[in-house]
Amino acid sequence: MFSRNLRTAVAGVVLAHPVMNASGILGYLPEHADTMASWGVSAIVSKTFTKEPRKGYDPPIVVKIGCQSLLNAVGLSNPGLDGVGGFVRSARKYGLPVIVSAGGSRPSDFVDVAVAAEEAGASGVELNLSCPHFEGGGIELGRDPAAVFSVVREVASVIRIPVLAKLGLSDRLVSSSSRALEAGARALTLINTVRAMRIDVYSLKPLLSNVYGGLSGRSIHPVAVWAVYSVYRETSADIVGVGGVFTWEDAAELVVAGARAVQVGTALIYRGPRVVQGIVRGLRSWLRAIGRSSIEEVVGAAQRS
Amino acid sequence: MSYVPSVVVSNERIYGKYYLLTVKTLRRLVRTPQPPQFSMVWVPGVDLIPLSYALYEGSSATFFYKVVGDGTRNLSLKKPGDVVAISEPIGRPFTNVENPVFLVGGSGVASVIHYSRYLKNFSGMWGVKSGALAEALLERFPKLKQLHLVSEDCAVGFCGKLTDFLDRLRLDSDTTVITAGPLEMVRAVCRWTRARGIRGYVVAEAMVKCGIGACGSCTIGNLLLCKDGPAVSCDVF
Repeated sequence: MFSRNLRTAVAGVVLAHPVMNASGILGYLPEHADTMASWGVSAIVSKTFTKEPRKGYDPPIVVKIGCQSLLNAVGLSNPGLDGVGGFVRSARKYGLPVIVSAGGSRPSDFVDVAVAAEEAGASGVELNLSCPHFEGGGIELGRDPAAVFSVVREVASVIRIPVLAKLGLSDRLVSSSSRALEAGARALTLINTVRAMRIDVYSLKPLLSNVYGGLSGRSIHPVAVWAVYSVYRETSADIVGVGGVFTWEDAAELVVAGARAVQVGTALIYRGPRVVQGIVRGLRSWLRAIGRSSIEEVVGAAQRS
Repeated sequence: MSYVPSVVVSNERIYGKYYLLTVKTLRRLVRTPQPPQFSMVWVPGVDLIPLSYALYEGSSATFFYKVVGDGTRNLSLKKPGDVVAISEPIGRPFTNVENPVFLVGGSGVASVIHYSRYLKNFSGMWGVKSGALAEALLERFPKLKQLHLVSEDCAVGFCGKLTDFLDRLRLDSDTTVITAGPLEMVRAVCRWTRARGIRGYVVAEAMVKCGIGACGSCTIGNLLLCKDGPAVSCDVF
């Protein structure tokens, strides 16, 4: 179904095309894998699993806002370590690479999830070092290059499958990225949602129960492009670009900034699952239009112009 | 999910823990709710509660609900003039059904009130613990008189539980049964419809948190209640 020129690879994981799902929409129960495979993604990325089960925050946890964007503070609800195996085994039925997102407050929390993922047959582990609403284990961790190094090194030293470090917007993004790669990360996922909030001006209360959350969708796309461009320029790393990918142009923009693959999240909510196939078709036409034979040829092309 | 600021018009205790809430939306909803869609009602700073519509007219939305926890208890304290917010309607309309038979219990009758705006004819049974609840609601929504009543306190209608009277129903094989209410009751109704080869649908209740198909909290089998429901086939139960 997919022409060869869309084939790509991230951290050694071969993908039939560059479009995966972003962690956070479904992805923690075995039955979710059936739905996610039907989206047409080239790899299935789980929701973030933590060592212990988490109930998450009370609602409201997600608010649709303008600019085809979402504000969320779900609170990393997940069934904990016990849920990893069931989800991975269910997702593997579809013959797609399965990447498990791992979260935690301490390095050992990430290690436990990563080991469970590897044992279940996952193709890679994406370390969530950037959740904007997870106290003690989110963006505060990711904006500290030394902490990033510590978590990545502990995980990368105990599993054989590749480690991807998911980092978010911070003033130390390039530095954290470099330290993650030094510690053994084979790829970077850039970026996570951006800390934000909305207030209802009638009740005078914040809309989210957690007060603040993470902004995703079209409004953060230019931020993601900048992040990918800046980090690729310094590191030439394998990068998965994520942030407001709604169209093939958005995906192409991240690719020429330096991403070898992209992830789609909020667009699945606003445009439905068919958005994935639309992006894939558009990328193929785009390559033809610019006279290039493969995605790999144009990764980071904007750096050279 | 986007929310429309709304002002409480009335929040009347009908009987016991059952309330009828009417709000006026400060902006019109983009989509008109159709049965059995529901909305998330935001009690600012407290909770977000999925409630089935009883009525929606102009910019006025009415919900029939039972106090079951902190969220609904706080909602029951709201007075006229207080501010809440309601989401755009959630789920799929399930209106392409003729002459359905409703088998509902307790507050599960809310969706029947909504359906009664769209259907000329319907029938079925409504089971309540106390006949006083049925009498109070029938006074406000006379169309509900098309339902046979079953009360556990024997004050109105048949005496007992709704499920005690299923075998008295004489339904054609092309009948569509719609059930809503306590889980134990809807499961019994579904067992009964399956055994007789009758199409059955549950207006399901489950924990809904995000309302947009992202969080997975309302997963029922391979379905998401907020996207695929709230009417789901009895085969899932």
